[in-house]
Amino acid sequence: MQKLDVEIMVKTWISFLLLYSFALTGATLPAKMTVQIAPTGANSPIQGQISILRLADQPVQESSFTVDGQPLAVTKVEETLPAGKGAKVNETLILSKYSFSLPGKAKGLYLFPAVRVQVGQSMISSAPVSFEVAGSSSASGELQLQARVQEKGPFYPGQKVTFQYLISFQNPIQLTKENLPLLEFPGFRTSGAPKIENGLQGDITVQIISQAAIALEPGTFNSGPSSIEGYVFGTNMLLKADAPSIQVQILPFPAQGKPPSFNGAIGLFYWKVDPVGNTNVNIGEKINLEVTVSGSGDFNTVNFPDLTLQNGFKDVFRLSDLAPVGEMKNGQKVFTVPLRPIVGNVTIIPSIQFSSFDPVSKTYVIKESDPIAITVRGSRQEERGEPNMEGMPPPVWPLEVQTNVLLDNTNIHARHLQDILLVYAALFLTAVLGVQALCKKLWLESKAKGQRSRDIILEAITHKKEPNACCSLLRKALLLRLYELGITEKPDIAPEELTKDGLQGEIRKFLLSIEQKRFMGLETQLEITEIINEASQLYHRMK
Amino acid sequence: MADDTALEKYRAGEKASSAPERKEAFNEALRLYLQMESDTPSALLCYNIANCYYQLNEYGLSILYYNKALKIDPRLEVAKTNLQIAEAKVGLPKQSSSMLESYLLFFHYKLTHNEKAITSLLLLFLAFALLSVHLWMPQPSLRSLAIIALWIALILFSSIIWSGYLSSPEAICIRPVALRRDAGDQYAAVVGTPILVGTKLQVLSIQDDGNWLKVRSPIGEEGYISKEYARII
Repeated sequence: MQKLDVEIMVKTWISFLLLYSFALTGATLPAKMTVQIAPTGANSPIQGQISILRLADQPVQESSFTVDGQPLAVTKVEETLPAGKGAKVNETLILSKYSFSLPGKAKGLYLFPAVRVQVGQSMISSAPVSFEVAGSSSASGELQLQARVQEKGPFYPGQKVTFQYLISFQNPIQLTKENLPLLEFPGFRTSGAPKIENGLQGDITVQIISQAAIALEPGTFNSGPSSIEGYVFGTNMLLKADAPSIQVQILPFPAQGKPPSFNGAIGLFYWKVDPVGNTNVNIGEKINLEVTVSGSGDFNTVNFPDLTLQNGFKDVFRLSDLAPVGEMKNGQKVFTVPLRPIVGNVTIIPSIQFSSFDPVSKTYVIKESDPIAITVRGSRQEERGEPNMEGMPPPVWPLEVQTNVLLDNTNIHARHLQDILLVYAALFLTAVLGVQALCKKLWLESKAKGQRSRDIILEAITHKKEPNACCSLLRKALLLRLYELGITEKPDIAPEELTKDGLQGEIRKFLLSIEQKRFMGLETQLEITEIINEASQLYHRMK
Repeated sequence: MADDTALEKYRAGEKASSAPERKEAFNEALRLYLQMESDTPSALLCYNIANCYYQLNEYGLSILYYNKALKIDPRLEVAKTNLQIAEAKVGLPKQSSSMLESYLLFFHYKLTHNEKAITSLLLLFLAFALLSVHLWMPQPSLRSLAIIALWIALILFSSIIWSGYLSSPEAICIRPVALRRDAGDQYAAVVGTPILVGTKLQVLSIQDDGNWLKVRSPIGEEGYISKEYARII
């Protein structure tokens, strides 16, 4: 930058001396402009400076800077009064300086074209300037940001544009701040998500963030400046990079000469229409057309024209209710268009007019396809003795779906079984099962209790020939039975503790008597049998 | 009866000799059928409404109502046939049922709600009867049969609960629309091509007081659409 400043200063002084001497002659000086491009490294933004030496009454129209026919965005740096006076006593010379930035380029030698600007009443231009882009100039910690529009403008509504950021760095950077307004450029509607690609250029990593967008309404739109900031990984070295704002123009389609068939296609296209399949059909049968679009331009803006607005289609062909959607195949866009003839005396599919807008020549281009010969059976109505259909509404198309069914009161409304009924049923049935299980448990318990004393009395009977054992078992069975029935508190209660009245009293008397007999040793076989019988009777009387 | 008149109008539309006459008849039939529609329309009523929409070239709404009919009665063959015709009309790919749907989970996809509910109820009672007998006269075979009946009833009940309360609702796109990144027209589209009419979408959530639906398309893209572009089946 120091070298640049010195060069500019020298040239400025020389210009000033020339102008001063010219001023002494009393003539009015034309403004003079010089452009300097600073040396830069590959893919780094190219900085340039414009110096305009002019009279004070020759204002610079900053919006009129152009280079190669395209607007050039400049930023005023300073305005100084070099020295002395202009050509006339009351005129003053002013040196105006502006800076600009261009997207980075690869290493090489380039020619920067002449810059033109309006100063006062005249347009002045600079001389073209050559400049060199050296090899990689990135220091190990340098971060660079470029913002650009991939396509060359101006643009038109519906056109697809790609906005890009190029982030160059040598070491991995952890970004802490990002201000990338190009990704939501005003005047455009974004299409899809941003795409990120990474690449290497030598030892520099270049990350390209691309965002596709569709131009909306005419206007001039600015976005930016952009900036990023971050730390080199593993260090506390903070790096920042900026990119200047970008201006994009969306021009309206010219109203003059716009054909009715124009529906937004931008580019130079060629349209080919071919029938597919049978062209010898009955009224109402489908004929398919394959329309192939080739050429150069934005295929996203290419849509099939509305045939109802073209001659020879309305009231002759039935068209699909849905607009055909084209498919890209091998760099061409292909539409399949179904048509159904709805009248009989049709022998051709008329020419179809296609139009597009050429952004280079800024004119509309209209093309027409060749008519296609077809045969529609049912055309010779007179020969078949059918009435003349002229002036009558077109006949209807064949029905494609099965017919309706008759409804009655039972099948107009759906009767749904309530889901909650299933839950209630499950709970109720579970409860009933539970009750059953409980009843069974109680029954088994009572049955089990009864069987204990019964088992003993049956065992006693089997021990008939053993009087001692038999009597002992009978005693045990009767006392246990009293316990099972809840009459006594323990199963081995002593007979003397039983009450003397009722059945309990009889059992007491019986048990004491057999104890006495055992003691006296008077148990014969007959007595044993009698004892067993009496015990059984007492047992059965206990319930 | 209202349906006799509606069917007469529909048949008149089929026999009409001119397009305006046909259109008028189908419109009248549609109006009468829509009057009969309630919160719980039958499958046949939905089918009739779908046919009317198809004849009036409202393919999105016809696909919606064919799907409604099939949701109520999955085995309604006429609705299936006409749905395939309508989907082919709008250029949707033909959908075939998977092995899972056709065989393994046939009860979930082929039985109506009432069939599942009544079968579950009957199986519950059968299981109850078998277990009651087994309780008083234990037999391993009775218990096994009861368990099998209970499992089948549980599976059918689970199918009812899943369909009615747990699965995400589905919607049909009735006009072409782009999926947006968020609930609002100012947001960018998720992809460049819009969703075709008749496409079945899975509704993930409802936002902004019901004005926007978060949906998933058949190919897995998620995004938002305004409620006016889709109807829940």
